[in-house]
Amino acid sequence: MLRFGGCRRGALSVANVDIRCRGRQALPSLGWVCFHSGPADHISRVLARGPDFTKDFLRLPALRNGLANDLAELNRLNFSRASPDLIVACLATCRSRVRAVRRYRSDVRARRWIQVEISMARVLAFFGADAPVRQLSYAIYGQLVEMVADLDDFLARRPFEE
Amino acid sequence: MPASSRWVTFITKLNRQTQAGKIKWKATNEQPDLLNGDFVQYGTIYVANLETDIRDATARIYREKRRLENEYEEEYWTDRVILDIRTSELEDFIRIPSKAGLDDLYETVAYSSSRVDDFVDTFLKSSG
Repeated sequence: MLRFGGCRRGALSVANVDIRCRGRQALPSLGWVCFHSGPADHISRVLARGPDFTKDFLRLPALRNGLANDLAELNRLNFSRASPDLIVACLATCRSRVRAVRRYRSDVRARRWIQVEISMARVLAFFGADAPVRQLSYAIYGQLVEMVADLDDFLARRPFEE
Repeated sequence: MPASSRWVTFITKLNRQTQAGKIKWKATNEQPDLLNGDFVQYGTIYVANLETDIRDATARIYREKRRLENEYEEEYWTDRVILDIRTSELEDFIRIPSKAGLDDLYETVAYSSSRVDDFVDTFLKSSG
């Protein structure tokens, strides 16, 4: 049994549901699930689908939040004119999130060019081309924000799909 | 382009143009239609003019804190960033949907408006 102490409203409705999840990675996202999922019968419906689906259900919101945090950091690096090395390091983290999102079942469009663009930015940073790295970083940021929005749309309607 | 993606593109374009210095935001204390109360409070409001070839518009972005109650009558505060657009002086501001990227836009606007870069440059150049 998992306790939901510290969660916001909506958590109480599912406080007695026994959620079994594999590994500790899923735990940080439970609060999000509780808050956004609404009535307990939707949670029960998700849990009834088995541990694999439950794992996907928990992991995707965590990845979405992680990607949003990385993008906030990338945005700070962009507007503060940070060093291209820092920008590229942040882009590499974003790329790992994008790869991870593609491992789970969702209808979020896979943006394969993002990974190519991030690799290109790393090469350019290696050769010390600051301006192209910043331009690429702006472009990648825009595409990744769209991806986060797609994830939001998908996660908002998934509990209600049969 | 789907409607959802359209708004996200709009927000990211605003963000990019703000960073490039093409859009200047001004901080104001109050707007006539945004008044603080017991249940709602507004942070600093940033206003900017958006110019296009056809028509201009006014945008404003701010943080809204709203006091709500849950089903057990326990109070809590929500905090979110709001972006409003007005295309004519005679019309009301239209609130655009809350989408990913709004928080980042607010951060960029606050940074550019506060001119932290100028201060840091001056501070570093000053003797002592």
